[in-house]
Amino acid sequence: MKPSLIAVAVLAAPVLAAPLHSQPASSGTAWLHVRVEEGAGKKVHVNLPLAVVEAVLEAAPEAIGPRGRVHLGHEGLTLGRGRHMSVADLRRAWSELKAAGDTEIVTVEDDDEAVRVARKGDLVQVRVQRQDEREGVHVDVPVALVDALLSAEGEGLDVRAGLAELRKLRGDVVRVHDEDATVRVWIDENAGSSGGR
Amino acid sequence: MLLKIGVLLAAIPLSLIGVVAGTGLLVVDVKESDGPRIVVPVPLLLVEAAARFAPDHARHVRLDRHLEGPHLEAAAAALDALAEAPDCELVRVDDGETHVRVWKRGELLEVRVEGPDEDVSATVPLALARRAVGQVRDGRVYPGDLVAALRAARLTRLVDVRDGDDHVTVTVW
Repeated sequence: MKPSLIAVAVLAAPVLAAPLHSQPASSGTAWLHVRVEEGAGKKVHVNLPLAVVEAVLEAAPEAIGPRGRVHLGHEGLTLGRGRHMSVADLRRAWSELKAAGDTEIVTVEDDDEAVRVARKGDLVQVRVQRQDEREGVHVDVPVALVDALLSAEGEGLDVRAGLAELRKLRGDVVRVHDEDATVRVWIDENAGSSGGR
Repeated sequence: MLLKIGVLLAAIPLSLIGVVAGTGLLVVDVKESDGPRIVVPVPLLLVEAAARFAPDHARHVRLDRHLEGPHLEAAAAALDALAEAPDCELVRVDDGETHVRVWKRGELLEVRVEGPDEDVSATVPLALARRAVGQVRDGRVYPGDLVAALRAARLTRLVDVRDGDDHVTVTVW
């Protein structure tokens, strides 16, 4: 699995591994599904009721700080290859992006890699394409989720607010494809892992 | 008169069998490819009774305090939430010839690992796991209580390990 894919998965982890509350919009049990498939037939499927995820994290104060916030330290988000972006910078960029509507937020191109972050409708799309790979990393994250996560102050992500948004979601939360592996995280009301969009 | 005495004598073992059957029996069955088969039946009632009549200091195992902490809190919360969750396949891992499955079925958590050389199945009653985690969290484990919790798993094969021709099972009847 490539470093970018891992980085994206790590970025998604705090969002996914955070406490969720009851499902006001649905009568069924909400399930969080994670599917990782790599070459050579290696597959990992995890299906968890959101209530279980919530309970675990509510009981683990080391994972979630006061008021449901995760602090990422002085370096903020790690973008790979030693590059960092503070949450404050990300928040500023995000507020400007929201005002601009559908647009490209970030475009980084170097000799062997191109990174593009754009807003398209209700999704934030992250695309990482390496020169030596046929397929790159594709990540789609709902705008409302990013909005909620960045609603905290300082170098923190408001995981609880993010989860309030997640509770409303049904379908893909994160989908990552690269040459070696696919990672898909989605929420639905099926206990099995074959549902979703 | 002889008939009455015969009935009374028969009633004693029958009553004992009834009590054991009614209160549960843990059976450990070890079958080695090149050795004898060993079957050890343990009445749950006997273990519970022994634990209750033991001196106070012998009824529990005191644990080091380093076992306490947020991980145990999280485990306890997870088990509580899982007990309330509907039945499902929680984890499925396929990696070459190794396959791992974890299910929640009723009051049981079932783990099955199939490998090229051995297969292992473990069934953990959630009530037992919850009680065990709670006791570990409190720093004192009461084996008698844990055995009593096995009553919630009657007619369940707790452990099934096959390694070549060796076969070990632990079943609660």
